[in-house]
Amino acid sequence: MIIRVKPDKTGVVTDGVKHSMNPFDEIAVEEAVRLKEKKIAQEIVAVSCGPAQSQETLRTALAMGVDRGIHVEISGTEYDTLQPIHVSKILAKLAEDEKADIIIVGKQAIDDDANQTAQMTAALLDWPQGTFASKIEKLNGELHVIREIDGGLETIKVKLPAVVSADLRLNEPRYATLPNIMKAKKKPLKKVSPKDLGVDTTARIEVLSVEDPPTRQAGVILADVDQLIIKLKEGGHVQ
Amino acid sequence: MPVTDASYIVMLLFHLALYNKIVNALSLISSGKRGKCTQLETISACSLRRLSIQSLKSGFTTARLIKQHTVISTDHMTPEIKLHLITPLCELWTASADNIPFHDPFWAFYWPGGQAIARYILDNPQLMLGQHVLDVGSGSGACAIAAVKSGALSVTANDIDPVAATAIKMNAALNAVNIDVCTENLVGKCCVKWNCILLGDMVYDAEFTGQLLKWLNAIRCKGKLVLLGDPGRQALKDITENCLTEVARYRLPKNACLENRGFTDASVWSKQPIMAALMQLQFKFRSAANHTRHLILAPKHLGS
Repeated sequence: MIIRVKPDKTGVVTDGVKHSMNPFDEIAVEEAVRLKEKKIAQEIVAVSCGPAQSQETLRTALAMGVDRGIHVEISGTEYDTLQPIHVSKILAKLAEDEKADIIIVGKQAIDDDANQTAQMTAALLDWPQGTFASKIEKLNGELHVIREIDGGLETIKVKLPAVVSADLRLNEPRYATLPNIMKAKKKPLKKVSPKDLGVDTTARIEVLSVEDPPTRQAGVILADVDQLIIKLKEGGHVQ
Repeated sequence: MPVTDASYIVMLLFHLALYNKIVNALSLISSGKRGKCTQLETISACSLRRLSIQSLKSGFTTARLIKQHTVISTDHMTPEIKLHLITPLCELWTASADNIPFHDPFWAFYWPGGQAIARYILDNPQLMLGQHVLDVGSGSGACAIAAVKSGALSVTANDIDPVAATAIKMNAALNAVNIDVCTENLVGKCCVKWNCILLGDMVYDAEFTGQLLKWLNAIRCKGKLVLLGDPGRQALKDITENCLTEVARYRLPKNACLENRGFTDASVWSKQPIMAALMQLQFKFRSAANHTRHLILAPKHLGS
């Protein structure tokens, strides 16, 4: 699929594009399911903020083993300007309502690469955070999170409740098979609006312009080094 | 490159979740059957005959499709029962829900709650003696087959999906047992014909669970044995405290865990006839020994 910039330069064309789960979020969901299989978690709730297509993504999560889904419906221009700050506020409110003990998010989305939601959510809730997790263990009522950092790994202890963001090596998500897809159809999926949650989704950042990357100039093949030197001199690159 | 959902999280709940109104009610609740019946009554006898031949033909086609897309499996908690199931050996195993020749083939999988009930009945055949059994949401018909095998007087498998009805008949034939099949939505209906009700994997959300409980409470007055099988869904956890007793718990085999991601066990719950419940209440006040009925139903395979 080729990504095209909108003629009015406000973003990229997303009409008719198939929505899918962000790979880091797949890892987050898989980890939650494994925590439930290890009896560390009792129930898993998946949340997706977006247009109607988000429900398909939630069904995928339900097929992976999530117990129920909450679709926070945000569409149109509101969705185009949705930022991590809005998502964090939504997640923080839902975490309080649902009395969640762990929030796991993907470390970043692969469309905007923002990498802010986990950190902002933790700040809003005043919960500890374990970002870029490559391993999670529950010991003595605390979470031991091994984090991927520059040049190595860091192990931290966080008290619960906590926010964790999933990095690439946390696990390998399993493919949802037909029996799981069928069972997902029976699982509850609730729809709410940001307004229901008391979250204002007014844009906080104005997009001035989205531009295509500059097109590369075609190259030329030169016969020998002498010609290369002549060309470089012509271009003023060497003297 | 796919456009992703930037805002996707998972929350794990260690405590009971707050009760939320769940908007999607199960398709089971909607009862379109009555309308169809009225229509049927008004058409002529001739067209009725043609219709029945058609449905017979479509039954054959359905049976052929079921045979084509399933394998006969005994790889589950009740290997004494053979079932037409979609397993990893079938092409459809890795198909998406839109690319299959059946509409929601819930009957093609042996659900964990159903496996627990069937295992429990087969291990405790005394429970089925003299019983007229109704298996609600029968799916593959496994629990109904287990009830017949355990000596029930009569067994009716109930599922609103007509394809499931065909699958149940095929599975009954495979196990050489006689089962009545009914596709009417019986939840909420009067069930005087039966004195034992089996419910495998029927508890999904607060709304439908509420309807189911109301119905069970109404029929409980008639002293029926009600067995409910479930792998531990939250909707059940929210209700078990007040009216259900866990009578058996089984560890799910590995393949069942893979078919039911997130679940590792399945339990059988009993809804006690009102007299036993009253007795238990009295015992509770008198002493700690309030397990009269529980002991009778004590499972052999608990924790196996």
